[in-house]
Amino acid sequence: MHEPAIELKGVTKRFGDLTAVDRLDLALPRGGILGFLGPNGAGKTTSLRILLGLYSPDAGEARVLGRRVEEVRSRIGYLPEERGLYKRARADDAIAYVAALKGMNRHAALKRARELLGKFGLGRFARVRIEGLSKGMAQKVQLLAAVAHDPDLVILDEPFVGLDPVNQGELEDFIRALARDGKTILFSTHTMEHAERLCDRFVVLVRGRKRFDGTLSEARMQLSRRARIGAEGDIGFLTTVENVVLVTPPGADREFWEIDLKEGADGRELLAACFARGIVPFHFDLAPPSLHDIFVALVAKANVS
Amino acid sequence: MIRRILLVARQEFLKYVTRRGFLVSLLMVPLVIALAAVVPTLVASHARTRVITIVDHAGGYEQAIAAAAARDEAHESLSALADYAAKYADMTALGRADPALAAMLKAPDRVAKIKAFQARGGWHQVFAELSGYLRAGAPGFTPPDPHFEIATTPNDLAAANSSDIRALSQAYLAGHREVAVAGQPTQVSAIIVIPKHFAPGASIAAQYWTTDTTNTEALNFVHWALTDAFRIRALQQLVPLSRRSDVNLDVDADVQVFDPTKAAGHISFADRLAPLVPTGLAFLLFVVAFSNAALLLQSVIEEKSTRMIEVLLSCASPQEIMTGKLMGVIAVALVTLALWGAGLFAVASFFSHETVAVVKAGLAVVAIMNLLPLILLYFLCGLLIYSTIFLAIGAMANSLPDAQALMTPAMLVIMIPNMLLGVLIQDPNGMLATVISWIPIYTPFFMLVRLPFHPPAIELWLTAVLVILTTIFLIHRTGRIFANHVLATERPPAFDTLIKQLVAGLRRKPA
Repeated sequence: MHEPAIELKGVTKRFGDLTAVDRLDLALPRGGILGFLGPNGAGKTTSLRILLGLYSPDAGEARVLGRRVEEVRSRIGYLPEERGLYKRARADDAIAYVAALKGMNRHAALKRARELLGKFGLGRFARVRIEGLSKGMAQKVQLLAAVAHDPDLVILDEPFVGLDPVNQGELEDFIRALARDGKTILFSTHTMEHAERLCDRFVVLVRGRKRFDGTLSEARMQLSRRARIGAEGDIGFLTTVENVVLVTPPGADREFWEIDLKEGADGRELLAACFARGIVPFHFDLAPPSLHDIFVALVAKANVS
Repeated sequence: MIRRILLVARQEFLKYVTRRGFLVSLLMVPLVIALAAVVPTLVASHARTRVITIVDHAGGYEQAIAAAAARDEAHESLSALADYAAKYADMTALGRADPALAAMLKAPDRVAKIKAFQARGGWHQVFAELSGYLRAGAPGFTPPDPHFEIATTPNDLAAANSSDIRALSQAYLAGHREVAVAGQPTQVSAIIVIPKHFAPGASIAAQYWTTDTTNTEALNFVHWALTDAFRIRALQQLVPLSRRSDVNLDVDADVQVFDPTKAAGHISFADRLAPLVPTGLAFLLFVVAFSNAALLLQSVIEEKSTRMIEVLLSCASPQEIMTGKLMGVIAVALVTLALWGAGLFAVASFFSHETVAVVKAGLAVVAIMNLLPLILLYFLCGLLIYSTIFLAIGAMANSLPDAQALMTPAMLVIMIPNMLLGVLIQDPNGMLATVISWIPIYTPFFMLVRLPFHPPAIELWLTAVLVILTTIFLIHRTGRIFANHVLATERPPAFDTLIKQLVAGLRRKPA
């Protein structure tokens, strides 16, 4: 049985008076795409730096791929938030340099760099300097630099920042392709749309502490749901149904009745109650909360607590 | 428009003047200027006296050199006394009471005044005559030490034949035997041997024995004293008294330099060339270190701003990255030197067919003097020391202006002793040169400059050990500073924090 891809036990990191990461416990499985979410200053980058061995935790223990970080550096790929490449370097040399630092033979690294550039449509830019590439191209080159040495774990820090929607889509495809190759992808972001589309699992950090760790469906269970019902009669009686928090009738800005449910309720009771009263709704939907809603709710809850 | 210009100007002004580097520069520049002005004066007033002894087989030349030494001393004393009188004496009253003395003190460089000064009895007598015109509270007068003192010729040197003179010279010049100056035993700096038939037109050279072949002050003095003696003798022998003022004789005394520690004794062109190699390298050390290390600093700042440093740190330890960077700088420095050398050689070869011979002679002598290991050691360690300083600054700075604020004081500290170079070369094994050579960040440069002047062997080896230990210490400690600060985005640390981190424990653990 594989050990977790990432395991943090009671990890704390302080900078002077600021506790950037506070007693963080994590055990993320291998394979798939893991989202590391949190508002600005939540401790995402610090946690990633601990996982990369750039910082030592002040307390606790960090293990990656079942071993100490220093022992598995060559099995980790890393994409920093900004373009972490030498502006004057040529695309193929830049990729090969990082791959060689990760342990590849320099010649093989250069060959692999050119293969990857060709595969991802940048073959003719192999000898172009980074400063001569568009931001999207440079981001791709950097991502290729992070994966050229065929790592088991790929850590991406805010990979979508500054990219246009077309490049964002291409990058999402690229990340999915990496996951299909069996790599574990961990990426941090505060853009929920990407995380919702890409991630199999999420960790939400707020103020250095973990507020959620699970799948999207598990996340949705964390938040109250809202049903929308279209009916010919008055269904205000739904307030008496178990797990219903609030019933709002249709109005100028809403076409249907809106019924807010408690966390974990699935809404079946609503339909049952309507049928019991002889009312057959002509519209019923039970939209799950978006990751954005869940994130905002988790952050709000953390701030209140 | 004016308002916007003024707003920008205010912002720029405040941005610079509120940096710590501005304050440090503000304080350090006057300090450096003051040091540059005061120290050479202090050092010059305590210049080393060179003791010369003369074996005169021809007769009359010892007196000529002694007279020249007395005249030189009189000149120095009169100049110092003239400065003293200008400060502390009532020159108007003196001019009325003793116009000759006042005129002497107003023109201390004129030969006639120097002779008059000697005729009056030297500084003791003149100071006594001046004392009646000193202002209240004037301090006492201390004459400067003479540049040269002529020691009584020891009997064994006087009786030595040409085959013995080398061994005896070596014993005296090394301090195993001493000469007497005014009855006091002292070590001799140079031994002058005047052959029996040394005379104008005789094509015989005087011998100047010394182990300090790089110092030409005493050699020039002896050469001019003997040439003066030749001129006077030739005038007396060849020109009638009535025509002597119309005749300007072209005579020159030949003085050959000998070093008793050399196998051949005689100082060749290559011997004269050799000292220039380490001194030249000392200057190249600064040029190369400052140009390449500045690139290193810029590269670290760029890596920080693009977060390339994080990628590097995810691949290798801070120590590995730092050591790699230092090795890269050393390689660039050596290639720079090789290319400069090749370029210079090519240009010199084009203009002079003697270039190859000169270079071969220079390299051969450096090899014979066994200086090469020390030259390389001081040079490489110096380069590493300066590079680590620049690297640490790069690691702590988040931008070039930040780096500039830290660079200015660092550069000033590193450059201060260079202002003293001229003075130190006059007395390369004196107290000041020795003390500065023991300050680790200055050791490589000053020991390279001093190498040709034969510093004591113990000093060579101990400073070599010191410079190695300093280099290791700085690389080790800078590695920690690098690890601590290279990922930081806050302001550079305060100076005291930095020193604490350099010297002792660290607040944050390195990754």
